[in-house]
Amino acid sequence: MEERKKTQVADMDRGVYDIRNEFDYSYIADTGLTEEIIREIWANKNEPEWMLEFRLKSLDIYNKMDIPTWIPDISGLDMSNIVTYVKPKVDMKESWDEVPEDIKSTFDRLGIPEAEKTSLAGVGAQYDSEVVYHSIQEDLVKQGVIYTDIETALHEHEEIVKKYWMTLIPPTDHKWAALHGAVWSGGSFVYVPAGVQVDIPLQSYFRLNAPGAGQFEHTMIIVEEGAKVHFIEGCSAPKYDVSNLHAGAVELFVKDNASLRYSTIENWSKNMYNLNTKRCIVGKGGTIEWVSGSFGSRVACLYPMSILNGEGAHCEFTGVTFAGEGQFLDTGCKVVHNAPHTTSNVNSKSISKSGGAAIYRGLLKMGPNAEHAKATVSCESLMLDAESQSDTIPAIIIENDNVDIGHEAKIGRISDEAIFYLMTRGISEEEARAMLVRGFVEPISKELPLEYAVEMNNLINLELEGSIG
Amino acid sequence: MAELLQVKDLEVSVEGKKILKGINLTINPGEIHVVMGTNGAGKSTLANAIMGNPIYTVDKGSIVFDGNDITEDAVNDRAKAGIFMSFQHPISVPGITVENFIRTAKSTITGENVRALAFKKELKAKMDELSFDAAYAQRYVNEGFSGGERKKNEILQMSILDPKLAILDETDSGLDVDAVRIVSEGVNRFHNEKNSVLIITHHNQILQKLNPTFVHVLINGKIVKTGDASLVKEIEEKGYDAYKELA
Amino acid sequence: MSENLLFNVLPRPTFRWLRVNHTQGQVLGATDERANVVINANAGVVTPLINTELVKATFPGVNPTALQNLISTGEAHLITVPANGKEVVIIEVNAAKRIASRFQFHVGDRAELEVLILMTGDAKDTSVETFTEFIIGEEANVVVKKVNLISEELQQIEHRYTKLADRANVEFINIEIGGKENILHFEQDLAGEECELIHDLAYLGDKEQKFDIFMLMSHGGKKSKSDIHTLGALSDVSKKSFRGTLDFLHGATGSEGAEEDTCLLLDPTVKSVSLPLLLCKEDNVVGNHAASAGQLDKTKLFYLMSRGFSEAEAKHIIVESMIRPIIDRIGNEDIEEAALTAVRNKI
Repeated sequence: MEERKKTQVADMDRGVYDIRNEFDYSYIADTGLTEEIIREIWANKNEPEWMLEFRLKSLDIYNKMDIPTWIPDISGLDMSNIVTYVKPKVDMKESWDEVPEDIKSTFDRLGIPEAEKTSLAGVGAQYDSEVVYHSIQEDLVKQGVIYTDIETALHEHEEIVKKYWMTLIPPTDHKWAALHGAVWSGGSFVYVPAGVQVDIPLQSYFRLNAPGAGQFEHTMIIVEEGAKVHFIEGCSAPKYDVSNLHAGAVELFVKDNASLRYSTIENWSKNMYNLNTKRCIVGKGGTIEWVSGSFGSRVACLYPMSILNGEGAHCEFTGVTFAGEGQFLDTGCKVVHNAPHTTSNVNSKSISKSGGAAIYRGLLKMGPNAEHAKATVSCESLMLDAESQSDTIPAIIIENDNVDIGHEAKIGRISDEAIFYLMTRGISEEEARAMLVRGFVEPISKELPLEYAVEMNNLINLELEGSIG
Repeated sequence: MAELLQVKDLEVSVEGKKILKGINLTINPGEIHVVMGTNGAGKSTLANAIMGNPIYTVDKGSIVFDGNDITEDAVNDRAKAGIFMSFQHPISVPGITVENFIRTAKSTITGENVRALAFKKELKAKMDELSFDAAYAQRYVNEGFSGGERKKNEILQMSILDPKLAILDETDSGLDVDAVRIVSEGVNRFHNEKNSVLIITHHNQILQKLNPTFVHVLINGKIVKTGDASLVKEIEEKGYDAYKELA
Repeated sequence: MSENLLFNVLPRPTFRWLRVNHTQGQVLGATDERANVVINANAGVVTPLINTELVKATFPGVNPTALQNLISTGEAHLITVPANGKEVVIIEVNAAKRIASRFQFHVGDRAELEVLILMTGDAKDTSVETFTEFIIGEEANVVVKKVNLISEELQQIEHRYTKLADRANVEFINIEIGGKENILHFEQDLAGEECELIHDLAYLGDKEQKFDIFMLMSHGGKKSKSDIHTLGALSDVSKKSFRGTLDFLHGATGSEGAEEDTCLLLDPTVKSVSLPLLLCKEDNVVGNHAASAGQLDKTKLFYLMSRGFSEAEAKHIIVESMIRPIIDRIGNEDIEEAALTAVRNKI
């Protein structure tokens, strides 16, 4: 037997993700959260008056709300130590060449503009709290597609932003939604007018660079009647000793017969507390498709929610979560059927290893109006060793008799039989395991754009290296 | 000519139960051997022991392949050395396509990076030979395949991996007449004077198209009789009971 | 006890706004005068329970306060089956008044025990509350069959705790038809190696009936097995909550668990909540759960109607055919007949 590598995941070479940049910040808010900080952020960003009111109201709610009883342990997170707002000393650029060298090289290493050149219709890049780069193809602009950072949208399309602002995720929703409402900064805004089909994806990349920083970006996507778009979101952060917090909000509005695909590969560093909220409301005949990969973070609480409000609305959720050493990834999906003939398919896979915990937490609700609604949920968990943890916590609530639902979950490990079969074809045990794990997540990786699928496979290989023996 | 496979005094048990009780078997290049016997006689155990299935424990004896003692070798090393086993019940491997699977195996066994385009061509050609719908190349290994399709997939892998010794463990069981014909034609195309085939079966249907050099009767963990192709006919007439007293 | 209690608290809570982490309620008539049950058993098998400590000190039951109240106010019996013994115990619960009864079963190694619990009675606005504890020895076989045919003006509460030693075998059968509100709590410690539990629970809800079912299978022993299945049908404004948890503890290698919740919905006004949890800290296990809910199978309905049955009759046949296999396992013709009659009267 060959000697096997004993790579520790904590020391794993995360390559470019861990390269941090020295940077000159133009404005750093005090740590902790006070009304003064909120006012400063507001004044600094030159926002309309109603936004200050909104922020202060949210702060008030935040202070009054308790931490949910059911979430994983987040005692490692000290809110008074989180710098809520960090603004890099650059203004938003529309030409990649104008983006400062340091930031540019980070994104270059992550392959962002590269991806744009090849296969993307538009790209946004956010560095800490501010969007530093945005571009969109001209023909899309001519068709009325708006893709910009949320701050610009707040100035140039104030009426639209105001109309939808935190209507899907009100600050009263939970403590982190309230925090988001108070301190949000950065994010993307997409507006696709009725009937416009955006065939190639729009992409946004978020990176947290400053130590102890919080990222509270707000993403708002409005897909008007009969329109179609694919949005890709990537997230990463280098590793610092200080815990970072991510409490973003994603609000998606899919109108009648419109279609939106929202893909995410999240690879935050392993000291990140990812308490993100994503929600979508779908009109008659509309479709929301979520493709979600969760690899990073120390603790994650992430359950994209789809509210199927129009007759015949459809939701497709495909997610994979990979929890390694020291990670507690509590992820899942919520689907609420509120109208007749709505349909949903949820397909979730999780892998846990080296003491990591992967939790699937879900909701499937069939309201009284959801006649003839259909839903299937499938959860599969793979345990790579006996030190890890894998839990499935689904809730199924049915308030109407004319529905058809099926829920299945299984838990297990890679079968010895499968390893033997692959080995009879000459493949080593280590390769066989990696192949079977990749095969396990294949239904998800095949839904991803190529560069993301490759990235996901690389992440899996990194995670698996030396994991046997 | 040097022997390709030499099984000496092989005793094998599964979960503490002795199945093979001293097997001696020599296979030379170019030969086709057939092992016949009743259910539970130990035929599949012999195949699995040669391939190195960890569920089977070798208590005594040795397996020498191509001049090297492989009794202790890992499964994949035996595959690299040139042994192939067609499974009686091939498992499904969700998420891995037939093409990707065989190409990875081929690269690993040959130690060379198999070029995608050339491989696609070869795969297509071999699949055509087996009347195997080329669309299956993009399907997950054996996922949703019928019994016959699974066996075809095994023969497809054999023909591409091109082993020195191919062990067919009950490849004909559960197949209809047409499938048996396609499979045996595939074996015939594969077989030449340099490689060898070990067929494990309890039917004679597959043997009508193949021309075995030796036929062995395995009863209760022992080879009780060895002969040429005419032994098949003898078994057909007498039944296995006639050999039981030899055990 | 008129205070609001939290019943059947989920072992791992989830989203609070769903209000499914527990059920709020009260124990009806907790201080009412109570009636005793009738126990039919061989002489010497049943004795008064002297040591009133819980078999598992932390066992909460449906609710710890309710459980404590039952222990301090109710009757208590000890049922002992010595090693290699073989006993049958029949418990008749006739709820003319409130019932508050505790039974502790000590089943010795290689012993066999069959328990039949028949619940009837038509008291009003009070509760039928039982607490059963089973300590099951090595290689022992225990079968517990419970048939609930009480009036729909009674509340029924059951606390049950079971601990299985090596290779112990347990089969639980519940037929829950009566009761306005049924709050059932089953906790099983599969502590022994290769021990096995099967639990099948059938319910049939109509009018304002509620079924609140909690099942926890803690797999601690190597190669332990559990297989639970709840199935039933709901009509009118009846409700069912199922909180099932398969918990594979570290070290329970080779264990297998399966849980299934099947619910047939017969009216638009019913409510079904299902929380089939799967918790796992061991890689070498097989855990499966499935939940399904839906209307009557249209093909079956069509088939039956093509044979001349009306739609209502066809529905009856389908619901009965779903529950019938469980009723058939009671093994007592009179009780089977009574249960079937109760089923037929409801659908």
